[in-house]
Amino acid sequence: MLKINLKYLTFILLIFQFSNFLSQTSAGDFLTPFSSNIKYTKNPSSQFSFTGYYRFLGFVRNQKDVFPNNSGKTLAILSGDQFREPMLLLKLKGLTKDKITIGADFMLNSLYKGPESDNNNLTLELGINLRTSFNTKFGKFNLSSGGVNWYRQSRLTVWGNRTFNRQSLYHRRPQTRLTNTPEIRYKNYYEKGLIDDGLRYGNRAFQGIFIQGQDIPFNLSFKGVIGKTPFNRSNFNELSNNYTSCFKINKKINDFNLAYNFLNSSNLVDTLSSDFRRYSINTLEFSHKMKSFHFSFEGGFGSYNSPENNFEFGEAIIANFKTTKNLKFPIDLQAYRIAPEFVNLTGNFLNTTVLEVFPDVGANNRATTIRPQFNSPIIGLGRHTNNRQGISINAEHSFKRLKINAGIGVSSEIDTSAASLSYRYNVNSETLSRLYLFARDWGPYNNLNSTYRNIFENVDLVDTNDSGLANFKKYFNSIEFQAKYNGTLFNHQFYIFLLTRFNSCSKSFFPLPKYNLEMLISQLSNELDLSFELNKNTYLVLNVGIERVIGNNQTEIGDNNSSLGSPINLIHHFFNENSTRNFERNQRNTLFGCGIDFKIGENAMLFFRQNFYKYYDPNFVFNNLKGTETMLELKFLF
Amino acid sequence: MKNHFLKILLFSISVFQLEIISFTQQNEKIWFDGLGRSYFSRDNVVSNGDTISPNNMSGGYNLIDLNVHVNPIPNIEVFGQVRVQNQFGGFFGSGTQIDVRQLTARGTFKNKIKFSVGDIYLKQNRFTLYNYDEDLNLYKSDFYNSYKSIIDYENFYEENRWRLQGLQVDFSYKFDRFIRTLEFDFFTTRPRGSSQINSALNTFQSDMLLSGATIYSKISNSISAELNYSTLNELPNSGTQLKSVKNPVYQIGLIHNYNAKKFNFNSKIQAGFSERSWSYKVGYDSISHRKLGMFFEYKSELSKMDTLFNISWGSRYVDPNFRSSAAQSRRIDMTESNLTTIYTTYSNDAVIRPISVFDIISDLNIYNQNISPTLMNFNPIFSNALPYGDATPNRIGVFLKGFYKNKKKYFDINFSTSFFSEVIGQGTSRKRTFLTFSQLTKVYLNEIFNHKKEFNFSLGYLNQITNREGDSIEFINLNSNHIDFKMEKELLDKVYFNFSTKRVKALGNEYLTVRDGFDEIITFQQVDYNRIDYLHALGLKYQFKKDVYIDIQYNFWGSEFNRANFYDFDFQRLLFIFSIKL
Repeated sequence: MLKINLKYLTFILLIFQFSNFLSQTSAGDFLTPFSSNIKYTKNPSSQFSFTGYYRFLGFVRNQKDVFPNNSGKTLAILSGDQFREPMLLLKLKGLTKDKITIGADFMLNSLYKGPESDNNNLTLELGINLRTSFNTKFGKFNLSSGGVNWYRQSRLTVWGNRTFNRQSLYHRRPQTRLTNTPEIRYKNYYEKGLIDDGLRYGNRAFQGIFIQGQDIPFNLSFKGVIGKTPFNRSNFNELSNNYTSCFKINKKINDFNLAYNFLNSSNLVDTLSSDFRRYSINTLEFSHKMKSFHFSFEGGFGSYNSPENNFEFGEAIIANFKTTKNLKFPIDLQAYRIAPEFVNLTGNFLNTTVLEVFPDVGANNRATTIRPQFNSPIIGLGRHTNNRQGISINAEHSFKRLKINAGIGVSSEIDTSAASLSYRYNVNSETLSRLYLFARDWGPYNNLNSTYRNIFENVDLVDTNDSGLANFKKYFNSIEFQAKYNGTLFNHQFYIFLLTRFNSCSKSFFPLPKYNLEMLISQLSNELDLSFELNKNTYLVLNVGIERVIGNNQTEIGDNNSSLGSPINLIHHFFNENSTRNFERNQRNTLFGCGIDFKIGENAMLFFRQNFYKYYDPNFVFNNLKGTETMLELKFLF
Repeated sequence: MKNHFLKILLFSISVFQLEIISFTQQNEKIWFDGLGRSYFSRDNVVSNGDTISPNNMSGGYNLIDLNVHVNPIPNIEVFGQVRVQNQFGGFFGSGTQIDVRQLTARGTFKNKIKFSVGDIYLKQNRFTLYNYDEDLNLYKSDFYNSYKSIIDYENFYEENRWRLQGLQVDFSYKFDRFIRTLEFDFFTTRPRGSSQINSALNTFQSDMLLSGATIYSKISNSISAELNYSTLNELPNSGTQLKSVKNPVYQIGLIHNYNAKKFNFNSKIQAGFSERSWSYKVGYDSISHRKLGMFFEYKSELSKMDTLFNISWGSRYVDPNFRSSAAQSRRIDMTESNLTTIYTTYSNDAVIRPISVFDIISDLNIYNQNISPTLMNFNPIFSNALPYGDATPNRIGVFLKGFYKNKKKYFDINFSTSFFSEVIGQGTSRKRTFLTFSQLTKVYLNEIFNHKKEFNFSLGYLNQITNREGDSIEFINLNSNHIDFKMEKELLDKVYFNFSTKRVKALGNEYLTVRDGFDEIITFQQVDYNRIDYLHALGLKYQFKKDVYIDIQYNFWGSEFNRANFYDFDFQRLLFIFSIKL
């Protein structure tokens, strides 16, 4: 056979030689000489472009004190911090002559673990989108399909978790945009209180078909989507009939805005039966803007049906009154009531009443990124949950270069709920979430839950009724205080940000949060950020965070019956020898961090962070973590 | 490996970005095009009796095929196609698949010799290398063109070519005397590479090569001659299989072209022969199951210069033993193991759902891209006269077909009829006869009523009657009727409402042939038909241009078997397609 093939090859080569020999006389310009191959035409009629970034994160974690189930590995040297983030992000954009765009974002990672490692991969970061728009005499319409698309509609239907943007600037996220100079990030936050967290912030991830109409007759506009959210994921397979569909119709009348919102989400329980877990929401929105104030209101009804629960009717209201920022004392007043029967996983509130509605995908307690706090969450200002009503007020004022803003809020449950609580850590949350990504009920006491760069803890309550629910309604209080200062030292700019967050949960109503053993849980945290200009391209950053959480005797008791060393016990003992002692939660989270922001060149920056963390609870003796994290981030935009 | 390639490719692209911020088509050495598609479907069962199948299923995907064209030097191009596909419902990277779909280098040496290496689309002669249209394809009509374009694209069906992987070269000479041109074309491809069959036994499948050559000459302005050769070979030493197939096919043809003032008259006479055999490494005879066969065809075509009218006629003889793998491989293998994608099983007995009209129209996964050395199965209700196209073995007969287009563009008509008979009977000395008539008429109502916006309807019809006289066992009578109707109305600029329906009714009996691995008939399976397949589609389509559209449709489809122990099925589908060719 080889001989035969050699014959063929020789024959072909001879023909080549023959053609070369006759090259002077033969013609290559026949109109259509025979070819068994397809006729090829070059037609570069479309435009393609690429943008994106390269981001390297060198990460070293050295644990001094570890949880008891630690394998003995205390030092981790990683490329990236294990979260799914692109090292090289390539955003492709194709554009046709008809102005139709096609986009995809390629994500390229390498673990840099040596030649034996085969953990390199190329994938999509978010997905693929096809977009077009067309103008008709009835209006301008945009249509897109694919996803992930970031979509927002109204607070009760589709809205990302959005709060008052009070946070520490010390931590950087992969999505955090590069600024022209290191200073701009701190300056913007000082002046405007804004951080550009990218498109994701305040929006929800959707896949499907999106349509939007503007300039429609009668001053109408609309937008809507038929598709899936991460909450529609299924254990069955990709053919599962799980959808979320929603739309909004909007009408403008001068300074008034009226809107109707609809949302329906369904998840198939069984491929053979017609059983669904389904919720449906109808709301009306109204907003009015005058010279110095803005009023908005959204109210509606929701229903929820599943084989386990059947809620036919639940109401929800969110009202917001705020003044413009140019007033001397800008205020923002917010009131809400969301019934326990009003269930939604994509709104700007947490679902705390129906557990089964969360998709249970993933294995080994992993991949539960879409399971947020469920058990009576203690939440910051600006966030809401169902089965709750509350009011909050925020105000701000400037004293020359010192700017302060503060808020206070109180809320209560509408009905009794599970005999447990949950609260997020304000300090060390990123550090702890990196220890066990997207895990549920982990840690030495199986009460830690990791979400995306955050962590929350569940607390069981002991006072329960016959049905296992808490024997009382819970009341929640919050205070948030932030001070910002900008100054100059030896001709170098510096910025100081202080953030205090104080939350408590109790069995009865209190106007203010308290830090004592009357409260079921009291949580107090302070974070201080200092950003100091070394030169135009270099900033030194420091962060100190301290957080204390204490629980009273209605919460789980720890495993240490010696309460010595607890400041709260010492204080109580000082005033009253027979006072209640704290054997329950008594947590301290501390973080000291320092780092450098350095501009290498145009669209290229380097960030260094060194964290010293400690997580400790004398009453829960295994809750004892201590260590360091070192991070070197190099980021180029193109 | 693929990923490494992609990384290099993408990284190199990114490096370009660093230099020039935004890389666009202005760079002549590298340019891009491609295709993007969103596809979502939701299917549901209408039949009430089925309590096992899911009531409904939904799925879909988004994909981008990014074509990278690199022109390192003039006249040379390296072409790579990278597919990125994301399943509907796969969030944050899950359900993402990245593949290299095509990789080709092509160009011209010294502006004389054209070559292609890699993925190539080849077509030769209808009897040597040709990818015939699938069943139900009536005059390449546009009844379900959204589905059709996806099936063709996904299966690499381009102009009746097979997509193969290998090397192809062609060149030509021009002469001043004796003959006018001499054109050469050569290719060698590998339709199937060696792969492991069983890891425990360490057995491997052999490589299969398909090679061929064409010599074409314009002897004068009116006379041309062609010589085609193709051969399919399994290379025994590249695997551990004991037998390997060999199938060379030769064809010679003479073409006469006469141009009058208003008409063209072309005639072609061609003949060829084939050999197919299996050789053995050990045991048996060195060669077995050797088949020698030939074919002959005469065809004339009369066409008006203004292309408004065309008629062709001819006769054809194809020997029962004529075997041409590259021309007789079917797009759809109607074997039971070729499973449908949607509702693969149905009914409470969970039986395998047979391929229906809807599946042929819509299911890209039942289609075949491989060259088969043996005859593939067909379903006589969809195509019985010429299931392997013009190269169908064991046929002798005449054919006539034509086309007429109204001068005022009011309508156009395609029609065709043929009468074929078997050369030898199957299982009996009696022979089957096949009478086929088909037509497709498209009426442009907007032209008739002088409307600006398009408004037209099409009506297609195909009737195929198979007969065999004889006693009660020999007797065959199968009547298959295919009816197509489509109405299309442009509601707004480029926005079309369309309604189409397709109905296939088959009544009668037939015998299906059951063949062994050497293509020999081992038995016949008697089948009785009283089957109706239907597909109705209702939809809106926004057609930006030919390859850029948004199509939303609702399909009603199913089959009625009208036989005991055969469950009918009835389904519905909601479909959304957004397709962009860049």
